[in-house]
Amino acid sequence: MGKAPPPIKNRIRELRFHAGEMTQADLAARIGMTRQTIVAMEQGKYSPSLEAAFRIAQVFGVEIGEVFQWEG
Amino acid sequence: MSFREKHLWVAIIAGLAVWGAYAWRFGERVLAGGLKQADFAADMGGLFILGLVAVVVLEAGLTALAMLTTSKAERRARDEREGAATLQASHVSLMLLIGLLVTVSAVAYGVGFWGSVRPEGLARWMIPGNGLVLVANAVLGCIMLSELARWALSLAMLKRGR
Repeated sequence: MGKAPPPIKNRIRELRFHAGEMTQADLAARIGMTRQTIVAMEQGKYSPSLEAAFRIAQVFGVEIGEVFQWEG
Repeated sequence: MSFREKHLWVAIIAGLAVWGAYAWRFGERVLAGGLKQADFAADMGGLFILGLVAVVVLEAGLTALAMLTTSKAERRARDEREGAATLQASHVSLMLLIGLLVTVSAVAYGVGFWGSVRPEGLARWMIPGNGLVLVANAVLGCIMLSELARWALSLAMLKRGR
């Protein structure tokens, strides 16, 4: 039996769209991660560390709470 | 596929191809009564060194291919998800390695005990030097199995997204 996905939603896909259709590879390069990890985050399969979450928010120039929401 | 995933596949393919062929040959020799032959240690030792060289060459070649098909930024990324998956897989692999080594030790103790009580019985199966070759290969097998488990589990966790 697989582990349930973490109860954290994110708006990364939407924020990428508003950031001029930023690609997953672009975002990954800017936060020092792989494109596959961005894909996993957007699909809700992976929750990043606090540091990575802050980096992502910084790339989009928003507060961390605008990117990630706790739904537990 | 990230560079890490490609490299895991490289390790699995190279490991299975080289050490699989080595294990096959080893099994053939043992089944053909090689443990009673004086040239068994030298033959298998030569094959072991050949295997080491082959696995290094094959891994280097396939890793170069993986590097050519992955961007520099992707290769340099120190991804936390990949790090976590590798760490979890390493933990399982270590537990497996401990279990396998303890099993090999128990069997070796058992055979050693039997050999000390009934030396003529053991001598029917092998010459003493080949017993050490057998133990060496059992240890190698444990290492290979635990490494395969680590690579496969890392890949499975990365595919699952975690």
